[in-house]
Amino acid sequence: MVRSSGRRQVIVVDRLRKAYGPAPAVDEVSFSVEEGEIFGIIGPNGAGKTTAVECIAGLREPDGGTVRVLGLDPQRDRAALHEHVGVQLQEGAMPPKIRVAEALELFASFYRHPASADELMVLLGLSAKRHEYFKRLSGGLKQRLSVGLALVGNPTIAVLDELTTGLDPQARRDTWELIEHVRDRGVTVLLVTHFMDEAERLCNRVMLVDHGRVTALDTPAALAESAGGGTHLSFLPSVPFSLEVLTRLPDVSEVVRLGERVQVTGTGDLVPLVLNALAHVGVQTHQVQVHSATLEDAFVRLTGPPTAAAPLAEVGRR
Amino acid sequence: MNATFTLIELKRIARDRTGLFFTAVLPAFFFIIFGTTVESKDTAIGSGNVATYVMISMAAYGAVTATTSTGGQAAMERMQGWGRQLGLTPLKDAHYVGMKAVIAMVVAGIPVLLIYALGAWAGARGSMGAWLGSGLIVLAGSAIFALYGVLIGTAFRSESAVGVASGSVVIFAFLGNIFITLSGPMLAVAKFTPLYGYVSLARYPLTQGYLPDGSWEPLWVPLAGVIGWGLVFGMLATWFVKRGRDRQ
Repeated sequence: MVRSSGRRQVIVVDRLRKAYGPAPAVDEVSFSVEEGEIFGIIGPNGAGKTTAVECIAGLREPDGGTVRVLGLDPQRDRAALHEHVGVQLQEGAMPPKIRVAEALELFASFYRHPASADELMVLLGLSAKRHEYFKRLSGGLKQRLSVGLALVGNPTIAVLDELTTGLDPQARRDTWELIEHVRDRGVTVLLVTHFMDEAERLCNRVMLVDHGRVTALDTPAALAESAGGGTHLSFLPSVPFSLEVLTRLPDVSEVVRLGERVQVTGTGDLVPLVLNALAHVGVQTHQVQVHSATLEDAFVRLTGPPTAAAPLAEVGRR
Repeated sequence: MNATFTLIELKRIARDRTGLFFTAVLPAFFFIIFGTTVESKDTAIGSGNVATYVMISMAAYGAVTATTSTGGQAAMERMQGWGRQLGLTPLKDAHYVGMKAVIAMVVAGIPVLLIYALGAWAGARGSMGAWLGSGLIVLAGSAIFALYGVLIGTAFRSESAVGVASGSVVIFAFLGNIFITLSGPMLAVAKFTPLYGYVSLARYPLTQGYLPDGSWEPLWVPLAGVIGWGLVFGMLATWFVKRGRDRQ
């Protein structure tokens, strides 16, 4: 269960399959999550993200394939699993008249080695609201509390599903910081989201799921680069120069003149590479603009309209 | 037994003013109206008087309202997000059910204690056996209506259905010889309704089986009613819970 990176694999999913009708919701999905990382599952609505997570959390029984979480079978070893895996559900509702502190203390009472509810409230920024009823909390605070419930058992792994859906921009940013805090405490995070900026900001690696299948799995930067055409750098040179200076660079794929400006397209650490090469031949650059392909570009390209299904399947086989 | 869970559940129930009004205050009010202000309140019945008879009836009505709504709410909770959330913790199903059973009994105890205290103060008289026996039967027997709540909640899957279930207790109470004294053909029909056996059994320590219309019934009649309806509710609740699971 140790990969070449040397880190322990805490979740291993192998050819997972789950169908609710004739069409499979999750089809031959395989991936593994390393200890200490934030692993993102992204994909359009109805792609099968939540179903996959529910199989991992032991809420659903897979039709085929295997799932191992910390070496446990989520179906057979449910009780042991829930001691170590905290789960925040997409539609986790609480009774309207339960107070914040009560909800945390209640969940703490289910675990053998719970976290302190008071400390969690500090971490979650909920201390001032400890006596508030659940129904009076704002959307962002409700989500915070629900993250708290996933953490109160001192889990090794936290599964967070569509955490920031419906939150305003500030609340989303606060929640992101919170997730980073959680990761810094040593908790492995499995994050399900359909927000690309969220995955890009938080995740060490992301898996793109579409129509129940894995279409890509890599770091957000690598995914963006592979599908979105890399980085575009454009500038105004101080003196004319031969474009060959740049075209012969290893990571540069294209160099074009746009009027007085020069635009370079490539991958990798394009910016220092280009600037160094130009400095070597005595060319200074002005008005430098850089546009990097984002995960969103990759997402749109990979999931795209239904007609783009063929190239998408090809990526999936990589 | 999880003390934290039980305590927090009890606090939540204490915060539900509307619920407490219907389970405790209203039956207590009915007792005062029908049991202590009527002329016949001191008329002897069995080992006690009419006030005692009405006291037992209203305590039974309150207890059943309480267990029906507790059972219904538990069923709703299990199916909604909260139940799924609890299902993701190490909390075991058996602990949950056990805790809810304790809660249902405690909540059912509220109207019983309140109405029996009012009874003692307002002139209900009877042997110690009649007081204790009827109180215990009211409490224990109300448990089968928790199953009724569970079955309605699971069958209709809506908060309003649970409200309707507790409301239907009023109708059963009329049909079951609780609110009005039935006789003749109505009484014959009443013996087949869910609350009749339960309330008659609870009154048995007081009446020894004598009914207000002067007739007498053997113990097996209320017993059969309680056991029969207990089985019906139990089987239906199990069936609906299973069906609900398969659908998820």
